[in-house]
Amino acid sequence: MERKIRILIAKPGLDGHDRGAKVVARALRDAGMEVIYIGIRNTPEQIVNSAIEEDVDVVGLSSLSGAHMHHFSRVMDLLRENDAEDISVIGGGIMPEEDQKELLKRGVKKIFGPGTRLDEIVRYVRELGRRTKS
Amino acid sequence: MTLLENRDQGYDSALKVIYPRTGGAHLVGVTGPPGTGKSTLISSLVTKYLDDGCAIGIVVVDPTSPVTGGSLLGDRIRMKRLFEERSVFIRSMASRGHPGGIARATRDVVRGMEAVGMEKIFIETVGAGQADTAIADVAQTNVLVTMPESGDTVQLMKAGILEIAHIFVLNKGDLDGADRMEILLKSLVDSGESTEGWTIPVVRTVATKDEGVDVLASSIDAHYEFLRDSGFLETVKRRRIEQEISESLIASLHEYAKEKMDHPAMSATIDRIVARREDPVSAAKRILRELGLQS
Repeated sequence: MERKIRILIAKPGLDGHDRGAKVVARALRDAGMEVIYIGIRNTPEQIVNSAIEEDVDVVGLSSLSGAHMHHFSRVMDLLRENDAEDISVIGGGIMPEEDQKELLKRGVKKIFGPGTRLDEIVRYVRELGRRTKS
Repeated sequence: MTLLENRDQGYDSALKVIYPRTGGAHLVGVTGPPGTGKSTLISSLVTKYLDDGCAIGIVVVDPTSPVTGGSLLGDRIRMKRLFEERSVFIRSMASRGHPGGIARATRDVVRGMEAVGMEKIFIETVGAGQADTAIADVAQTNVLVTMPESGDTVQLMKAGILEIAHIFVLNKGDLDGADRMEILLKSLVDSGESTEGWTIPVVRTVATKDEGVDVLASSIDAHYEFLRDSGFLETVKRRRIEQEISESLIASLHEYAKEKMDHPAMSATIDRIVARREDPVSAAKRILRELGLQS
């Protein structure tokens, strides 16, 4: 049996717009992955602890409120502090281009903006998962 | 944990290493139909146990899609207040096609948690139907969570999930119809035989408000005490081991049978049976004799 890709989908911070995160979670589920969905209002600590306990391959963060720089960076730092850098982080939402560049520099693998096709996300996560497994 | 779940290479030796450190925790199954509040109830219960300084494991199982093989594991979201507790470990599992309400590897993941020192482990089944009773083969204390308006007396007389419960919980006890449901559950308990001297308590809770959870925790502890004092815990443990050896044997034999069928010599046997010179049962017995398993 092919190994299952496990992914955690979470929204950090107080932004309550979870439609996008839910749509992506469902698409990944339908692509045969095991999606752990922890919804809105998570602290970076809660996200990283969950990712480690669940031993996921990928963490998907969603943000629309503008607090992405702080939260995403904190998630990256915490993963590093916990020796969990093997977990890949991707992001989705509305973020200025210069922020996106800075986040990629800090280790976020990819940011998906509005209008991204779901199959593009699925393909990317599958590729990431495969790389982590090997 | 992932290795135990996936039965990856190294599974056998990992099990051998952790096994001596398992068997000491109290395993509590939490089952019941979808949406009755199992996850929220566990979250509330565990918060209570943390006050007593307990290290707690939680294994939550959600279904795998038979169509795509994917799953959405959404029990953890109800346990947010436990995410940063150092003495709590939560692991979500997909059922991965295993019937009965838990995954095949749930037992092993529970063992992983025992091995790292968890003293109480809660196992939440998938939202269960009437016949999902596999949890009874893993947990020691089974809590069945119901809510108001979930059926009349005939529903409650049916065989299956109701029979494996040691504790009935009526969650969402602040909703209309709770009084009636409580009477139904209590009369069900009163009309039944007590199993080996344990009388099933009916506990009314409102998990979202932490109401009734103290009483539930006491009932869970009381059942564990009952199991230990009556010697029944030992009996259960021995019975499980028996069952597991037998399952493992069957799996190996199954594997052997598959290999045997793929072996080129088998086609001669099949030819013989097609020509009606031998029958399938005699052929199987002959193979068993070759293995020294049948005289």
